[in-house]
Amino acid sequence: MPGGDVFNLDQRRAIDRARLDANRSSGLTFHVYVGAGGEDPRSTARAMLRELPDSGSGVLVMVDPMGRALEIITGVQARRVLDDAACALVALSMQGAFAAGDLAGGIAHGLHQLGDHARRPRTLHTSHPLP
Amino acid sequence: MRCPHEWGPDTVSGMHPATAPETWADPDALPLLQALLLFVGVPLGLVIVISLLAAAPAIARASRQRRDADAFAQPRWFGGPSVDARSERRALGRGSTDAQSETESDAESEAESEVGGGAGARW
Repeated sequence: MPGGDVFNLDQRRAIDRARLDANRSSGLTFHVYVGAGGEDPRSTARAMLRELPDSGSGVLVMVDPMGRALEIITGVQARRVLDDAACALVALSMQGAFAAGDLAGGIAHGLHQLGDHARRPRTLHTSHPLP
Repeated sequence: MRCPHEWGPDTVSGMHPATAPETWADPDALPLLQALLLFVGVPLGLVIVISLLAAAPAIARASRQRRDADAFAQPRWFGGPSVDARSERRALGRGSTDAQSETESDAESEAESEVGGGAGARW
């Protein structure tokens, strides 16, 4: 583990894989930030998402381990497929993992859950015949 | 065998006084230093050991928190904006005309009003 990095290589890979899986299954763009969230983590997270190029279809998962704060922020398009109730449910699940000391596992599992909640439904009736 | 109520004076006189048996060791009195060590030092040592055992989890937690604080001093992004992309965007913003910056600020305020769904938790 390199100095100053709290995640080892396997944990970083697991988080990245979960993020890419969630991106693929939902069509949204997931971002994860692990670091200080300041006095008001929600405002900080909202400002961070606005900074991102694809904020509309983006979902930011912000984890402040020192402040023990978790924020899931969705952009306007992302909110259509990933509503606040689903985010709250996932936040609750991640909260349990974080309280047990499993930061990387909580993030990866939370990303999987967010991706599942935002999964695009399969269109059965299209103008193109199914193969 | 006679019952206790039949015991007479001859029976009582035959009993031995309650003294320590002669076979028991009769050690010398402990020197003061040794007595202090035994009756003060040992209990004090036990108190210290038990206190340390009781405080060990809190000490370990504090040291872990210090280590975590060092580790999280540097924020970590997964799928976040790279420093280069940020600086490029900043450079583009600086080089734009007033009209462009107005449009950008309008777009930013629109984006500000649009972002905001989600949920949070504390642990």
